[in-house]
Amino acid sequence: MKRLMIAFAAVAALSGAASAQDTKSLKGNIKIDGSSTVYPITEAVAEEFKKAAPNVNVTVGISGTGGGFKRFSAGEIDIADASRPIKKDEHETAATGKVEYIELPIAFDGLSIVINPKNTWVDKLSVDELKKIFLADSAAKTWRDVRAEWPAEPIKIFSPGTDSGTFDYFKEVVAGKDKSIRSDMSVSEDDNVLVRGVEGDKNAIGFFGVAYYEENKDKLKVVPIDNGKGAVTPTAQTIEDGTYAPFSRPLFIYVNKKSAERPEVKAFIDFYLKNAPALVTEVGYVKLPGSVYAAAGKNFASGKAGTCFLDDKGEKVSGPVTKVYK
Amino acid sequence: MSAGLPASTGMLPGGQPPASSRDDLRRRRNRRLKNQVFLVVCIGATSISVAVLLLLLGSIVVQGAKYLDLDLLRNFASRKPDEAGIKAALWGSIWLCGICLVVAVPLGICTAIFLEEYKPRGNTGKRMYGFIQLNISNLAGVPSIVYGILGLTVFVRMFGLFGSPNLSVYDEMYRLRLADGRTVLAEIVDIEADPVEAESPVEGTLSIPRAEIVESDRFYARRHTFELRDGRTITGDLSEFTTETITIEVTPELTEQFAPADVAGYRTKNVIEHGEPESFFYLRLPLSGSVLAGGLTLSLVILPILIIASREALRAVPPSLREGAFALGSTRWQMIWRMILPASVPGIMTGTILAISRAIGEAAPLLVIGGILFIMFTPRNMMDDFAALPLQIYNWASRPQAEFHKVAASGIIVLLGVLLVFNAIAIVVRQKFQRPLQ
Repeated sequence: MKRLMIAFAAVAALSGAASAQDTKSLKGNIKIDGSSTVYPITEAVAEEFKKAAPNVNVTVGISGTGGGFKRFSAGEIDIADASRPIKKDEHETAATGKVEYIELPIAFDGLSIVINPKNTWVDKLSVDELKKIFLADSAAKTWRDVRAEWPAEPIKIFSPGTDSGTFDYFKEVVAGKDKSIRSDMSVSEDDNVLVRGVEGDKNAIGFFGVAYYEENKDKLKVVPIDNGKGAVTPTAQTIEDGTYAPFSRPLFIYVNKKSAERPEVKAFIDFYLKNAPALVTEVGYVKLPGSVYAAAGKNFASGKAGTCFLDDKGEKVSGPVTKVYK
Repeated sequence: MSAGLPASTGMLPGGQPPASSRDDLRRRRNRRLKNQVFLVVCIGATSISVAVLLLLLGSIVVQGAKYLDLDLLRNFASRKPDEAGIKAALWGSIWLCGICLVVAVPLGICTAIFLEEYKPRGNTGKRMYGFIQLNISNLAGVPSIVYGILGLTVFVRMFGLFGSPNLSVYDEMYRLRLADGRTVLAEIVDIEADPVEAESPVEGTLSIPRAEIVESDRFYARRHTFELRDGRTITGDLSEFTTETITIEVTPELTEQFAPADVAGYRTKNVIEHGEPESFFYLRLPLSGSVLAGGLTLSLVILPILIIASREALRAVPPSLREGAFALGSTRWQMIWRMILPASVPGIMTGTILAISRAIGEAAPLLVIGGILFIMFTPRNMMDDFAALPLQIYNWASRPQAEFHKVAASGIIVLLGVLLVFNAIAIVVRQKFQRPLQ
């Protein structure tokens, strides 16, 4: 005869008043998977949450944003880490799998455009100049093709892998929907390789997450971006207040609404949103404005399902997260 | 040849040493020179590969020395390089390799024995044999990520036969067997309470005294199949049940309602569990992203390598041994067990070493079947989630912080250590079973 087992449901009765003190009594498993860009943040939160709730087993995978959404839509995981908003087809798959989700932005990832420190001529770049360098139909061969007074030295480009969220975001901003990014670039999935590439070539230009620039400040030079309102360098300040535009992208977690009813998941998300600003900065990303965290907290509490990044017709809504996310 | 030529040249007239003799001298010098050059080339090639290996090991040891201590082995993953440890990944990899050894090695050796020692004679048999051989050679070249996709369908999801592999998102149900012989399917708030309050789709709300429950079986369920008295069968998501009606969502748009009295029987598409999650013998279907699913997937990856290596080892046993054994009247089984296997153990073990080395370094298939990195516990049984060394090392190496690159180097040293231990086991086995051919 099987022994009777204590039902987790017993804890559910307490869930209404789950505060910091009773997280210690929480039990259960929380499964998270998705973007490896978001992973360090979720890892930091889960690490701290383990101290607050020692009996909750949190596991975090790194299948990538797309892979994570696939498992999320099949109901295999409770939370999906995503380095971009959910796409239309992913939203539809989730709907067929009867997975309702709550969308929560958690951080900014600034994109830094960097050059070699020996490059003395580039003082700033505008989005149009970036288009001249990166678009397939213009594909500037030398720096002179970008701005007439610059030397006729060949441009060497280092780019993250075309499957990565970083590349996706850069493509969306620079190339938009109709155009494409040139293919004659040195591509690597490992951003550290890009750092070494730009470090070793005077005529190189590359782009990747700000954290990689911050760690290699002595070897690289960051290019201020002029978006019509003067040149802006990516810093925590300029990314958070939105002046470093358009190269900062929001990072998200998506929570299965049914999972969110479980007390341990609810406690984890409350913990996540409360500690995100501090932990996000610690692992090298930029915190969102307080208003966005407040909106996320409100949406989670009210269980608002769906995404703000797709309109009623399923078309993509673009714009800064501060305006789009409500 | 060199002895024959001077004899023939001596026959030529004249006191001068014949031209062909000088040719011969030059040819001999040439041959020696070639011999020397080839030796130098071989030594050069060897020392280049050894030098590269030493350089690699040296740089890793230098980089990894800082974080290589017991804390690395004792701690779980952390955002702080000082506290980051490899415990979960290390134990995950050890479990994976253990499962691979237990599953793949016997399978590989048996397959190799079948292919080498029991060659079929008939026409159809020969064609089948050729087909299997072709497949094994091809499978050895298939990228490991393909095995990951196979493992995801077969082991992790088990073709969806048992519902979703995430046990947490689905309703927790109980199957209760009562003293009066009835079986009740129910949702229960607190199974420890007395009486147990149960909500059952078929029986309605029940209040059962604890003493009446003979057996309780917890499972996770979502899809139910109801067989109605009118002969219909309805399968779907059970969305609501009261004493009067049972509502089942057949598709997202369509719902069906019927009375509990109409139900002739019901089945639940559910997860099969045996034992308790904490125990060592806990079993569950589907395997989901468990360490057993990971181990089985890696076994698939290394199976072709093992089969090919074991076949080579069996083939290297001289046929005279087989003929001798047969001549003395032994059966095929006695011949294989007493003669062929002991003689081929060294070769098979070498193949095993290569295969396990491959298994421990594989990241791609694990990424496909689950790819967990952050986990705060080590597997207690084969159904637990796991992390693995190559994934952890790759993640650390691709972080922006230089300190994490050093932790990654320490991780590589640990990985090499584990590999050495597994290889040492294989070598010990080889020494133990090796018998000189008499």
